[in-house]
Amino acid sequence: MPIRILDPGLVAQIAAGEVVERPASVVKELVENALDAGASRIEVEIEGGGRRRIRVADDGSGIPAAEVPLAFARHATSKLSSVEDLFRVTTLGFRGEALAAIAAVARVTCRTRAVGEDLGVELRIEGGRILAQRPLARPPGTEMIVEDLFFNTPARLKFLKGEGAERRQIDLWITRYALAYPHVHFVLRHNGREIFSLPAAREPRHRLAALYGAELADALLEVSEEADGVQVYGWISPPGIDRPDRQELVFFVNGRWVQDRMLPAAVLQAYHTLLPSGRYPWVFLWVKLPPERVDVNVHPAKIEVRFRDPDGLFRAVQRAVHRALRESTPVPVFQAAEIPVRATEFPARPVPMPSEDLAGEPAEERASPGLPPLRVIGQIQARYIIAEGPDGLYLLDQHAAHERVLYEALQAQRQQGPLPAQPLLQPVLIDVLPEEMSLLEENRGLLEELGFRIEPFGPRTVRLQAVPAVLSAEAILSVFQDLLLDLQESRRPVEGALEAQLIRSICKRAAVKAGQVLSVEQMQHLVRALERCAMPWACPHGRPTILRFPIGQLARQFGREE
Amino acid sequence: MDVTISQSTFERALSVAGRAVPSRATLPTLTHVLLQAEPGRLKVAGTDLNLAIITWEEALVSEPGGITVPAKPLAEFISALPDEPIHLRVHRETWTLQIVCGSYETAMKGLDPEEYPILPDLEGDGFALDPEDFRLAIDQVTFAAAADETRPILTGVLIRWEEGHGGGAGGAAALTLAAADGYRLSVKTLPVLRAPVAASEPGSTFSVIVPASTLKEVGRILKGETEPVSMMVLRGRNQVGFRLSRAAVLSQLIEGQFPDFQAIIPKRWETRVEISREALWKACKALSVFARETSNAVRLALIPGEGDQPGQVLLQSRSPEKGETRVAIDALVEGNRLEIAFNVRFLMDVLEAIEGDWVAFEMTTPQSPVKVLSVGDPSFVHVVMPMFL
Repeated sequence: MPIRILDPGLVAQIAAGEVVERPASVVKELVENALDAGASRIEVEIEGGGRRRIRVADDGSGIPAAEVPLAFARHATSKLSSVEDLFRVTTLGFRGEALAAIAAVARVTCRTRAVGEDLGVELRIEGGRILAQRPLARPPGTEMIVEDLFFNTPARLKFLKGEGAERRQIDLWITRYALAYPHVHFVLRHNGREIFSLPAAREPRHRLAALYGAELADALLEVSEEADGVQVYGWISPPGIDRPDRQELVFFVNGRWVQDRMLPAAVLQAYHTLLPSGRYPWVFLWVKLPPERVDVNVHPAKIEVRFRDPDGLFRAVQRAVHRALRESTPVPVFQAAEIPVRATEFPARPVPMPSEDLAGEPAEERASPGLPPLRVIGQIQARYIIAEGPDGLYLLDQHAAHERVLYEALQAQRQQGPLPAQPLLQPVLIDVLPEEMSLLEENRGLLEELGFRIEPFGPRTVRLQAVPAVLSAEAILSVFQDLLLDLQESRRPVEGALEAQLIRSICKRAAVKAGQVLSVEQMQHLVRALERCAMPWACPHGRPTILRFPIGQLARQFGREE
Repeated sequence: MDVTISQSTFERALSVAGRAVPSRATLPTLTHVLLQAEPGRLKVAGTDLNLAIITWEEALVSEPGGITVPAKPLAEFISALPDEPIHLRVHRETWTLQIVCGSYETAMKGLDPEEYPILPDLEGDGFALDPEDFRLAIDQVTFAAAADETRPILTGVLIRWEEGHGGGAGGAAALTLAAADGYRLSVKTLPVLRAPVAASEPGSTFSVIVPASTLKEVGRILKGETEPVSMMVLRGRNQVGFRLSRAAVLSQLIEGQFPDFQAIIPKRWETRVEISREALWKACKALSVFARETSNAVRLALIPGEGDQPGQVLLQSRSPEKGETRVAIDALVEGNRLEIAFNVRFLMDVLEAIEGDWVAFEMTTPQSPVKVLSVGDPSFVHVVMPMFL
């Protein structure tokens, strides 16, 4: 075949493929346009999973009659005029591709009236060609009807999933936008049946309640933190409320729903040790940062973004989530009694955030305040150890405290060489996925240093020959699953954190569990070991290990004159 | 049902059967104990459907019959009563158990015993075992079974019978018991007083995997037992039963293939040590205090004797913070000098399981499995994997 310049129609169809992948992408683009037009009410009607008909109607600013045909030309947009603008995008759409792309692969009817104009216009386009244009009386706003999607690109039609799958995808998108824009009234209908109608809510929490139920919304913890021009706010589930998948790890960056690897990793790290393995939290987080610090022009569908300073953002998100989780610890409950004590007076001892928590460097060797000698009194709930010190009552979290002890011991051992390994009498054969296999192979050297001996044994099987000796009392397969999870989580932009992460996981698994009854001897041993730690106040994940209730405080609370 | 039984007897029966009662269950009757009055005795049973424990105690039965009542409240109430005869009577119209003991009287709501799981009778031909031998065998193997539920087979103990392969003292008929948790293996041959007719046919073999937790319960009930115990495999039901003089334990078997443990037992050695079990255990105990933060590692240097110098075992544990601890013990060391490391917990476990005064270790290299034996007792073999430091 001779080389030819493609005809413009074909070019448009090919380009359309990048933006319009499936019905949900049409819905997304149209809803984004409606939001950019300042709509306060958006109605979405879907028929046949969006393949047959998609209708998105808004009460936004509308398109001036004279500009309507231009709106469907490729790279026509009202939202950008120069390259500089591209780096300061504040609207959802901007590439000027969407309408043209949709019009290239469907039968489109556009009815619109701009605010300030007396008459609206109706335009009908099919496969990119304008078929008809006529004046029309209608209220301000835009109504877009997209029918017979991909009627002229049978190849793409073939790759569409079933109606149910497309529908779920559309619902997912609308739910995300409904969350991001609580003040906009959203209506969603499928095949004539109303799925939801969400009146404008004053704050996102009400919208969360409307979408996910009041019970969940009430249980969520609020996150709110601003530092260095980055604002992180939203809601996260407390430990104890979790789900089996990552589906509800939802992030909005400057109002845009994004799917990104780093943000979930930051959140999950903050949750570390708080969730059983294989369980994930509910997370709805909004990140606001100056537009020049985020590049949304990575992918035509704009669900991926690139951050100018990913490490900084990672830390900011992790810190914000961490704080919200930490503030939900039992200390405030203790004070909730009718005790005239201000929260700040209780020395949940400001825990200096260990620097190794984020960067993976060993704790800096500084003169730590250290613990005074403690006398163990007992254990409560098979979870906490009560001890007496010269200056008050101490409460230790047995798991967190043991994690800290193990962490410092293993770090010290690591500095002298590999960690001791406990080989198995007979290797265990475990089937893995190809990507897990390559992760294991990539990190084989490091894993061996930490005590894991894992060899490939066929294309999809590995031989587990040894585990870190501290884990020899643990379930071998669970240890291995944890390891895979850590390796997968580790594919995030913070470099060099893997080893620290793996050591933290080893400690977490090897440490005494909450719920384990300890003998007085064991408790004494743990307390002694913690006293010797360089940073006894927090576990390797940054949670407190020990709380102090000063004598004076107790006296005041019991109404004693001292 | 109308029964009179002594308080201490009833309390004991409830505590034995209660060990099989789950604290939570989807089926409410499972949190109950079954009380069944039979001529001259009261049967008390508990089950979680995987394990059932049945016990019989002497009682004065005026009227047979039965009931099930919540296990925990009943046991708590009975243990609070004075040691006097207890009179139990069931009101069938309401399924209420009336309990009268001295001046105490209470009524407990129960359920129709027909709703309780049917527990098969353990009458029939089984392997007759000496209770004391069996209890010791259980102690010597169950500690090596895994607690790890992700590999269910290893939470069990293999019990194997091969007709004609005695293994017992003087080639007497014997069962082989084996358990392994991935790092260590215990194998014990247990003499059989009498094999059932079906298993006595030439070439007859079988092997079953019994949950280690079941055997531990059997071991607990065996304390003080003087009569031979009968073990029977209920093939059709995939269950195993143990019949004692006043109790029976019934358990599901674990299905699957037990690892080929014979292949794991080392056949030769380069270094062999015979050492006092007590001296080594005491040294391990002392070192374990310092080994706790360093993966429980203890290093052993095995030094053969020279001239009139006796052989020595040097034990050492090292902690980055607390420095080093050493103990030296005289021992009979044959073969090459060797340095090797162990998880001190593994060493202590096997030393506690062995009965004799002298224990032998046979090793080849610091990376190979180590055979542990009780000197003079060929019925027990233990294999443990050393640690890599």
